[in-house]
Amino acid sequence: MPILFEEVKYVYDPRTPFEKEALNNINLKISEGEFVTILGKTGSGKSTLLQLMNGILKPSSGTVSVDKILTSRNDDSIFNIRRRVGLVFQYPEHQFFEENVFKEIAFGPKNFGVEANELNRVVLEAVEMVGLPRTVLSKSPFNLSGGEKRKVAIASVISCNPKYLVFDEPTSGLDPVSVNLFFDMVKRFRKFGKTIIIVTHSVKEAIQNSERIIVMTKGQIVFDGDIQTFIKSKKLIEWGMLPPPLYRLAWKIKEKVDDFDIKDDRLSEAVSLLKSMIN
Amino acid sequence: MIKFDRVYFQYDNLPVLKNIDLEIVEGELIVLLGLNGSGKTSLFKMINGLLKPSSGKVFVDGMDTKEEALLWEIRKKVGMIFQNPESQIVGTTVEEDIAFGMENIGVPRDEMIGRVDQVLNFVKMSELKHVEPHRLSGGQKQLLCIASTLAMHPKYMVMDEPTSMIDPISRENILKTIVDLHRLGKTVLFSTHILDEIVIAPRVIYLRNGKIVFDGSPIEVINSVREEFGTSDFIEFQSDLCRRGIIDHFMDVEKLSERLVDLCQSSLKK
Ligand SMILES: Nc1ncnc2c1ncn2[C@@H]1O[C@H](COP(=O)(O)OP(=O)(O)OP(=O)(O)O)[C@@H](O)[C@H]1O
Ligand SMILES: Nc1ncnc2c1ncn2[C@@H]1O[C@H](COP(=O)(O)OP(=O)(O)O)[C@@H](O)[C@H]1O
Ligand SMILES: [Mg+2]
Ligand SMILES: [Mg+2]
Repeated sequence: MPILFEEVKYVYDPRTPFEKEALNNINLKISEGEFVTILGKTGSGKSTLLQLMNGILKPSSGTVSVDKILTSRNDDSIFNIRRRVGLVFQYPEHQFFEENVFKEIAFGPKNFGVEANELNRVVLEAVEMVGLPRTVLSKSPFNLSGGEKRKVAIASVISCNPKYLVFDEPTSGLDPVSVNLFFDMVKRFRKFGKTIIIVTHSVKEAIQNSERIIVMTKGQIVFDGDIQTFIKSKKLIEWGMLPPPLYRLAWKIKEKVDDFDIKDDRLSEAVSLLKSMIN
Repeated sequence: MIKFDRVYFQYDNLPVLKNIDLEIVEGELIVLLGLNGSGKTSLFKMINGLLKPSSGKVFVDGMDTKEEALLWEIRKKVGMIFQNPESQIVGTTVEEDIAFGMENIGVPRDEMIGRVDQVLNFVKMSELKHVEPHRLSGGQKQLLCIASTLAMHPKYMVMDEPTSMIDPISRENILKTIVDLHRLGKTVLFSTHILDEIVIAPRVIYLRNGKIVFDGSPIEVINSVREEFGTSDFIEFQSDLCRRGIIDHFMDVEKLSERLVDLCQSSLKK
């Protein structure tokens, strides 16, 4: 069963002077067990797309469904959708409201019926997975460093054990060690059959970890395919992305030196590495 | 000069900065590196007196941040840009936002008009002068914050993770802007988690658990923190070139390509 978008359009502040069409003509199917990365410039509609997935936003026209349940139904099925689709927001502060980190992380599972005696274990497990020390549990989620806030936001969604895990720029502000921990965690979830959807600005993260890449531009999906096709596409810059620096270096040298063959021994190894990147 | 003299700082009873001694000289460009929670933001907030040392002192051009009467002068000298630009934008148009800070510090009206154009030109956003800030992209908002701060002519610019929430092309733009500010003679400090960005700075400071444990050139620091912080193929490639004596310091893609093209061409001539 999938998350399914059919002919979806989304407009912020409709019929006001600030009216803004954020998504247009979105058709998208994400099946169970997939690992999808969404890339695109700021303002291209990524966060809007994610918020439609768990029913926080309802389509202005068209339909979004999760396992065949429409997100726009006005009954308690929205509870069912939230249960299935866990969304970590782009700005962690936007999801905090409890007085301490423990309560913040426990809120979801408690609401979804986890027993009090289980709650402690669930929270500690989540905290450990994202690499937070237990000492933060008694602190206010607002009185943390930027990266720590991000980790609390992630922990409070994974603690609900949703079937679809949706992350909006989860690695912004995380240090490299925490980024690795995050992807280890995600890989473990995949083994349990979870579906993973991640928005990121890092092309490197996208190609190292996921299997399917979606690129958004101006509210539309302009690319949807596998890693190989994505890398070969000549449109990265147009889409607001940059290839990793060594590739850019190789291309820049190639532009200026036709015969990229070198006699200098010191240089030759470096040059052959760069050459192999162009081919 | 900015000087930290045995600075100790704690939130409630959590020690966050532990005996920091640090001197930052005019005209420096410095990157602050460290794992989450190591104290980077706290250290930055000390510089303009947003946080005060629990013990020890911070001086900005000789002025003690603990002296309330000097805070105004200190904040005029130190421009701060926070990680989330939205929290800093106050104007209803780009132009107004830039003017706001200047009004606050009493820049005369005709002077203000000139400065608005000047800083917009600097961040290459002149055509967006009359746009409402909420219509800007994340990268443009970040550049607007830089412009608004710059218009107040601070001597020091402190930027906390200016590149962490924006797309790669906007990021390159911010980094170029940082280099330009440095060329302009500003003293610039910024923090990042993206290791490749350290190549633009001559000096890297590494914080671990509230202590400065390394302070030196990017090569020196990366050689010490590789295990703890990780590395990247771009950084390792340059480390290798350094080891073989092909370059003597890290460079951005632009400069490194020029250098390698030169070497390739001269080696071809031989
Ligand atoms: N307002 C606050 N109240 C209490 N403790 C705080 C507050 N802000 C930060 N801390 C704590 O101080 C320590 C250092 O935080 P700081 O924000 O300086 O770290 P940082 O190096 O900027 O981290 P990051 O890379 O995550 O942004 C952390 O342990 C954090 O939990
Ligand atoms: N709450 C909102 N109110 C009005 N406009 C919004 C809101 N959130 C986003 N937008 C606008 O919708 C468009 C898409 O934004 P968003 O989905 O946040 O993009 P991304 O996540 O790719 O940066 C942008 O033009 C943005 O300015
Ligand atoms: Mg977004
Ligand atoms: Mg910080």
